[in-house]
This record gives sequence, structure tokens and C-alpha cells, in this order.
Amino acid sequence: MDNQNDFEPRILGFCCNWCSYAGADLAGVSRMQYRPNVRVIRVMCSGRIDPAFVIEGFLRRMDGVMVLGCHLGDCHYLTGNYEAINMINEARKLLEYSGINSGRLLLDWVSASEGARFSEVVTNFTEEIRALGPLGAAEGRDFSELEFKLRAAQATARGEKLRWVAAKQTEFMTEGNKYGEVFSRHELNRMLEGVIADEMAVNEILLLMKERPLSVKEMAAAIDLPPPRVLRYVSALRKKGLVDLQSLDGNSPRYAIRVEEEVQQ
Amino acid sequence: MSEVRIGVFVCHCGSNIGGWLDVPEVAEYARSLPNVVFAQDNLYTCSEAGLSQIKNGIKEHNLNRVIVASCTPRTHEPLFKRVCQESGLNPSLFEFVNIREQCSWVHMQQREAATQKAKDLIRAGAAKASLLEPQEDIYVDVEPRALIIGGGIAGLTTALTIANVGFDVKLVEKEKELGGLLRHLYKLYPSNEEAAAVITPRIEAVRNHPRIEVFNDSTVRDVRGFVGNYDVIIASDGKEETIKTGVIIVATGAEELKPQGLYSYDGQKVITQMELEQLLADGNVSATKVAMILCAGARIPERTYCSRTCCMTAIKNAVLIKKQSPEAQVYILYRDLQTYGTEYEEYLRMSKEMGIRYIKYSLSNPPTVSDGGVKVYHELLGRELNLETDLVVLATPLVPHSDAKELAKKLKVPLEQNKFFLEAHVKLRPLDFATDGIYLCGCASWPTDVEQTIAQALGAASRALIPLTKGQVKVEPIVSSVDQDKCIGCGICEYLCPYKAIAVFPTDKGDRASTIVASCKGCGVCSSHCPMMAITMQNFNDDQITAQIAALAAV
Repeated sequence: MDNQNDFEPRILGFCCNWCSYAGADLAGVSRMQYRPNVRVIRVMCSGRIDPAFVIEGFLRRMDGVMVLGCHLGDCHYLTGNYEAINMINEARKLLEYSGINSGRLLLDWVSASEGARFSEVVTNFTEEIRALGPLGAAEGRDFSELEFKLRAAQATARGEKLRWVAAKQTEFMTEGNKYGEVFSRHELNRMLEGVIADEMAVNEILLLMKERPLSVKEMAAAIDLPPPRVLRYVSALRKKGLVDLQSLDGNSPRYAIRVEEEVQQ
Repeated sequence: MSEVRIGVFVCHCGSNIGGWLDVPEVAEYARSLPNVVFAQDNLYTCSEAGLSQIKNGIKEHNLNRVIVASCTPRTHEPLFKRVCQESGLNPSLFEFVNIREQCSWVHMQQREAATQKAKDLIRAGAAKASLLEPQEDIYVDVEPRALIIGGGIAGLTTALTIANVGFDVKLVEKEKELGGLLRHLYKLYPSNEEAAAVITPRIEAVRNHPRIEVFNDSTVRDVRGFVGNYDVIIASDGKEETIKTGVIIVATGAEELKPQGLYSYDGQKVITQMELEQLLADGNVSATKVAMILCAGARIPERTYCSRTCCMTAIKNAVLIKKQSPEAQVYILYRDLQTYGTEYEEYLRMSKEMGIRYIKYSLSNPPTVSDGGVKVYHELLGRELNLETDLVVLATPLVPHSDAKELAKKLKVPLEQNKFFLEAHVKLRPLDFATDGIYLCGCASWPTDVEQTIAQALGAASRALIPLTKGQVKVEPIVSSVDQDKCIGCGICEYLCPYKAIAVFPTDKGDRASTIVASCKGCGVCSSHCPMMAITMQNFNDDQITAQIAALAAV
């Protein structure tokens, strides 16, 4: 238990130039003392934060990630922080799919005049992460296990499919899709979750096959999904020309990632 | 690409940084980082000596990236970028690392941890600097016009100053008449000249100025655009008009707190200083036993600030009563007296010679007002006094207008915790907002008296005249750019951009998005949302941010 007490969380912070970064400066000017665990990266707007950055932070073994923007309605760029809500919501789902406690990701608002609030947010979040323990502790998993999932989450966050849905959220909730159907937050969440479930599985399959050729059964066991579902993904990947049948292990076919020369042919 | 050669300058900032973390050790560490070929610590990097050390460093060590680790980029970034430029280095190749506001000042009792944090931040800065790319400056034309919000002494002064230089001015006043608070004042301290003598000629001059157009009974409906090119929509008489303007000055002032429920305030026997001014102007003060209570509703937990103008206003009005009827007894009940400078202190001494009595009370034991008298515990005598009175005057603070928040939202500028407008920097940029092309003066930012307001108004006018006279402003090259080979012309960026600064155009490759650089404000929402990851946010691109994350996480 001593370890737990000595644990100093490593926290990655993103602050927007206009509000929260200025709030952090004001905390300094006011000499408000807080724990030195957070390392801040300055961006112009919280809407700049790509979920891939959040995943990258955890892949690099940060114990917590904190995104601070302007208060809603006060965004220097009008609506950037509403987009941050969408993006962080997506990142949170990716973390949950990766088996990471989404309490490790914080989205909050601090204005340029709220130095005290900045120091309070940092202090509280630091203590929350301290209570969760090092990345993996609250999750009851080894980092190597999480790492595999996070790499799949990273590929998912950078993948076209999820980015389409994520980027369209505002439009779908206000003006609707091209048929004029307007979606509720709940419906969009379900849509996001559906895409994340598929894309996570596909990316995990691709990651597994990068190591060595595998049968559907082996892959299904490795990522804890029913074999028919894995087969569906593998077939889709074959159709796209990303995966090839490599060999037969008895009756079971083994699949491998298509090597580049073949794609070029 | 040629070899990256980073120079790191770590600032002691006197003892502001050096006193709380080990600056030489941090500089030593910086020297060990990849691509860093030179590192040194300076006492004050922003001083002449510090700046020439940067210049020498660039020359002697052939640096092509410069990092300064010192205060917040929000203050001195332009200064250091200029120094880079003067040394022939593209200013976009400069990176700022904040180890003061966000490190030394907030971890004062944790020297080791603060030193480590500074090292980590510089490591991330170096990782980003290695990936910085030179950017060309962008210039935007400035609409040669100023829009001033507020027609009080501050707004009138800025309007006249700017118009006299030869620029068109649009002055927006929400009330019917110009003049603001000064219309309600009788005489001004410390000269005892009539407020009307100060304000009336200015109102006349503004009304008759060929370059000034006044919109009274008007409010700001909406504001769009950016420095040099603002579109301000003015609503008056149910009509709306869009004004194109290069700069905006906020001179909206403040108002006197109405002390409802305080000290039995009734507007008759217990009045405010502003109400007393009116009585004095009308020659209607017959009271001979007057008590003035200072800090009424000010410097209390829910309104902690000092309104600065009320001490002198009270003393001045006490003197005026005393001059009018020398036999009158005037008591000033104060907590602390703010009569700074030579003239105000002299005025206070004069008032004491005239027989005005000062009684110190404390917040924990405030005076009580009853019919015909005031009970007060005299802090210095250490006993309670019963003052017989026929008039009680409350010196209440100036408070922001209730619509300040709404205006701030339209202008996208911040308010401080008391809801006054918040300047870009309390010392270095007191008349600017952080947003380029918007300035402030007078009581909009803090209670100021007439003298300070005029000084600020002249200052804000001068600040606003810089872009107006230059005719062009430089826009930070923090803009997005689209990789035309990756873009599929989906239009998501066009939909999301709050400034309509990115749009899809037909090209010979098909529809492709591209950035309208003069309008781009650099938020990066397009970049974080692009399904094809085709959009690069210059100076904050994916590779740079990812490199910063990796560097911070290293060790």
C-alpha cells in the first residue's frame, strides 16, 4: 500500500490559448499553489483536440488526460468547445472499449479570470487520478494488455469511418442528415458506439495479423469475440484486399495481411 | 531538410523563476536534448542583455530554432519573435516554454518537482521546435473606421481623438443622450470645476464633428469578423445597420450601485453620493448634520473590490456642503481612505482643516442608521458614538452594467470576476483586449475617475490608431492548410468553421477544400474533424502535438 501513497500521477493537460491557458497563467500570477503533476500543452482551442491525441497520451502511459476549454458560450471561436464535447465524448467511448476507466479523461471549463478554479480543477483531478492509481491499476490489467487495445483505439480514432460519424455529430443534431432526419444525442451515441465496436474489432484483428498469420478461431479467442463475428470482419477485409488467405491449418484457414507488392500488382 | 539546430534560453526572471527552481540545472539538461546545440540561462531574457544573447546565440551557433523558457507566451511572444526576425530567423521557428506562471510560481515549495517539470516542459518544447516550419506572414487591410461603444466621457474622448486624426468614427450610445455618468455629477474633484463644463463642450464637439456619426438609443446586436475587418450590427429604432469597422473600442462605463436594503436607504433621508450631487447642483441641500458612510456595499465578501472613486467623491461633496453652510457638521465614516497622489492627499488635508470629521469603523462592526442618527463604533477612540444627523449619504461603489456580459459575449472578450471587462494584461496591455483590434477604456474595465478615464481614453485611441494608420495588420500565420491530394471535398470543414474561413471549391481534381487565410483564426476544429486527416493546423499540427505528448511522457 506504500506504493499507492508514493504514486505521483502523470497527467497530460491540454489548455486553450484564450481561456484555460490564461486561467492557468492567472493562477500563477496569483501564486496559487497546486500539485506539479500536470504537464500542459497549449492549443488554440479545445476543439483542436483530436481523440487520437487523448489515446496517444494513454499509449504513452499517462495516468490521466485533462482537456480544459472556455466556458460554454464563451468560446473565443464561438463553438469550438461544443465540438470539444463531441470529440471528448468519442475519446471516452474509445477508452471504455479499450478497458480504460474513462474517469481518467477530464473535460472541463476554466475562464481567463478563473485562476482559482484552474488550480482547483488541477488539484481535484490529480487527487482523483491518484485514487485510481497508475494506468492499469483501476482497470485491473497489465499495461501490455491495455496497450494492444489502445493501439487499436488509435487506429480507430484516425480511421475514416469513425471520423465521419464524429465530425457529422453537430450537423446531424441540428440540421439532420441529407434526408433531413435530425438525430438525438442518444441516437448519435448509439451510432458512434456501433462504429467503434466494429472498427475496434477490425483494428484489433489487423494488429493480431501483423504479428503472424492466424485462424479466425485464434483471433476470436485473442480478442474475446464470437468467431462468426470475426469471420465477418475478416471476409470484409479480404474483399477490400487488405487480408489474404495464407495457409491451411488442418481445416482452418489462416489469414495474413496482404503484403504491399501484391497490392500494387 | 537541413539539420535542426535548437538554442534554448532559460530565464531566471530575477528570482521569479530562479528563486524557486534550479535554472542552471534546467539549462544544463536542455543542452542534452536531441537537436539542442546551445543552451544558456539568462537573468532576464527579455532585457536588452538577454535579447542580445539570443541574437548572438543565433549567429554564433547557427541556430535555426529558438526556445525561450520563461514566462507565458501570452506576454512576450511577440518580443522574442521579433528578435528572431531581426536575426534573420523566421519567427515561426520560435517556441515558447512557460516555466513561470505555470511552474515556478505555482510550485514554490517544491523545488525539485518544479525543476523536473521545467525540464519536461522544455523537452516537449524542443520536440515541437524540431518540427516547426517557417511560415510567411499574412497581411490584411484595415477598414479605416473606428466603432466606439459608449458615449460617456471615455467614448467621447476616444471619438474626438480618432476623428481628429482623420478617421471616420461611429459612436454607439444606448441612452438618448450623450454624456454618461458625468451628466449626473455636479462638480469634479480635485479642481471643483463643474462636470457640465467638462462634458458639454465634448458632446458639442462630437455632435458637430464631420467625421463622427452618433447612434443614440442604439445597441450592439452582433459582432463578426476580425481585426481590421469587423462587421458590427447596430440596432436602433427597431432597425438594424451593419457597420464595417477596423477597430472597436469598449467605453461602456459603469453605474452606481443602488444600495437597496443597506443602511436604511430610502432616497430621501438616506441617499447615495450621486443623488447628493443632484441636490447640490439644484442648490437643494438644507441638511446641516450630515454623515457619509464609505464602502457602502463595497469591499464586502460579495463585492470585494475597492471602487476607488468614492472616497474622493465623498470628501469633495463634504467640502461642497461645508462651503455652502460652514456651520454644517459633516462626518465621514470610513474603513480606509484612498486619497492617493499629491493632489488628493492635499484635498483631504484641506477638508480636515475645514472641520470635516473622519471616523474609522470596521467591517465587523459597521455603523447603524436610525431615524435622526447614526451609531458608529469609533475604531481609534475605541468607543461608540451617537451622531445626530438630518442626512445620511452612502458612498456606494461603481458596478458593471448588467448587460456587460451580453456585450462581452458578442465581442468574444472576457469579463473578470466582478463582471468588469478584462484587459489583455494588467500591466503590459491595460487598454487592449486579448482579441486584436478591440480596446477598452474608462469604467468598463474598472472604476476610474474622470482624470484616469480621459488618460485611458487617449491611450485606447492611440492603441486603436496603430492599425488604422498602418492600414494593414499582420495576421499570425496560425492558419490551416488542406492537402489537396487527401481532401475528398466532403465539406465537413466548411460546415464546422465558425468563420467561414474554409470552403470547398471546384478544382481540376474535383471539389477540394481550401483555407481563406485572412479569415482563419487558427482554432483547428477543421483539422481535428477532417475524416481524411487532410487538414494541417500550422504551428499546432498533428505531428507537433503528438511529438509534444511523446516528449512529455518520456523519462
